[in-house]
Amino acid sequence: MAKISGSQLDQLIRLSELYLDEKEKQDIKIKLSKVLTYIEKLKEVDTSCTTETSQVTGIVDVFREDKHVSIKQKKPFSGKYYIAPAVFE
Amino acid sequence: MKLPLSISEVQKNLKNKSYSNVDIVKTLLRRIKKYDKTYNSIITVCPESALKKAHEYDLLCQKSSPDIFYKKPLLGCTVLHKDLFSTKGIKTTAGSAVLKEYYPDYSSTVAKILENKGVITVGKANCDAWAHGASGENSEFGITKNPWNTDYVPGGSSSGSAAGVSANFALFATGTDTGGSVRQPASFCNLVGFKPTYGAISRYGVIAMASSLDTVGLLTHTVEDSQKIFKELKGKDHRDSTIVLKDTSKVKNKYKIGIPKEYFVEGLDNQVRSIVKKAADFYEKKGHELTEISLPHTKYAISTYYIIMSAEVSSNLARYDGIRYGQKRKEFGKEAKRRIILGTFVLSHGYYDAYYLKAMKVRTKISEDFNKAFEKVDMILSPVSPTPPFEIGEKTSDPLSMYLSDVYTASANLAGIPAISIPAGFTDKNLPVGFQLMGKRFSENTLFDAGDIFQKENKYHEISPVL
Repeated sequence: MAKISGSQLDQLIRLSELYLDEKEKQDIKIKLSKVLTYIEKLKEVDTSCTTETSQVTGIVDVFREDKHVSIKQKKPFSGKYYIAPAVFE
Repeated sequence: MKLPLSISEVQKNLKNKSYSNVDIVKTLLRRIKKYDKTYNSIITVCPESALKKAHEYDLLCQKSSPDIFYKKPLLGCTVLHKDLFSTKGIKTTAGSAVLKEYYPDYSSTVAKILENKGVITVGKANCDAWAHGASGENSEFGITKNPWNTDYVPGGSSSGSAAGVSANFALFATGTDTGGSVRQPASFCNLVGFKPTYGAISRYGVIAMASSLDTVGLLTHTVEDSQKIFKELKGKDHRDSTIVLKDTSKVKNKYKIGIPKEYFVEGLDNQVRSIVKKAADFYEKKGHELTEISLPHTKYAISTYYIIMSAEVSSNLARYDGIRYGQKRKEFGKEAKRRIILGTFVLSHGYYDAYYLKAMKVRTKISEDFNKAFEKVDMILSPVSPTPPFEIGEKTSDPLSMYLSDVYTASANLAGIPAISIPAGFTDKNLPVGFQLMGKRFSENTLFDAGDIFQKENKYHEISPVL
């Protein structure tokens, strides 16, 4: 049976910023172990040649090429930087 | 007045002035006051705003009938919004104590569209907190009871939506379906439960559970009504980038219907099996072709679903930090805590590949099973839930057995395909049972057509519970 140790559970509680008393911790340890044992049966599936699915309707990220715009500036600073108005006083 | 069970019925009566919008709303409010103490299907009732809208629509009807029914095609309809749908100025709790005092500044796209189309919001429906559950018992605003028998659960997580429409507190309800949360309660309460293709209806303003699986669904009495409401709701929303405009429906005279052998195995209740078989036989008698198909990765669906869902839950619920929204994180209930911790675990260093990445790959396998099946058949017919409604308290101490209630529904969410649950009969204890039709992505109108064929000759949906 898959198990989550006490220190592992404390770390998960800390990461997820939750608050559990001792009784709740014991209860969650037992119930999570049962669930983990069940979901471990995924190991049976051969996925060596399978790519993962994170989006099901074929939507893809949309990118465009950067456009290079030359900025007209009369006083370049040290040839490399441009002078811009100050942000902070 | 006899409460209408369909949009065409309510609009016919409004047109011939048998009753007005105000009559409808007053009758519903009286019913809610009288009966909802027993069922606890509604968290917030909206009497003032509902009556105000009803008056407004009655004036419009007097002035511009019958044109008004073109401008507002859902006029006369009343809705219960699952309490996950943001409604401007109306408390929106997600069924959780974390949001017990949360009043959104804006409405979800769905609530907004429905209002523009003439729908009156009667109230906000109870649900399992954050939509985590299959029974309505996880709500932090009290358990919802099944109007067909108060010893039984109405299903979940859209528990109040199903119980409320079943008890005739509104004509229809909105719900969310992440792993079966619309179809299973619809089946338990003798309603039609519709889950569209992922990305067909905007989710803007709907409190997120698991973003790669969440869909907005509908609970109605008839398939025809689901289709009418879906027609108004689908479409572009620049606030939801997952929306896709597509229609792959092919309405035919004769359908080829697949029966997945993996869905009729041990664990399926005998009464459910025979009711679903009877529904399949009906299609065969009408000349449609039934053919056995295989969805070989079905047995891995729940494991895959619970890893991906809990991972996304842990991420989505991270935004409730007690600063921007509502109460502090210590207010989270037991089930939310379990899912956040499980989700954090499967995403954590050292376990990510073994659990989360693995589940994402098996998701591909499950999706491919469906793609292959739809090369051979137009749709798939199956049970909705392995059991009829179960008793209150029966599964609360064992989360795993509760999770397994989603065994026939979660696959559709993993593959992103549309599905509809339709009333198909009653058990010997007079508890409702539905069957499910699943179709290829964006083939909603094919499913509506097939569902309508069934409802035209099988009138289970016209039977209401005695309150």
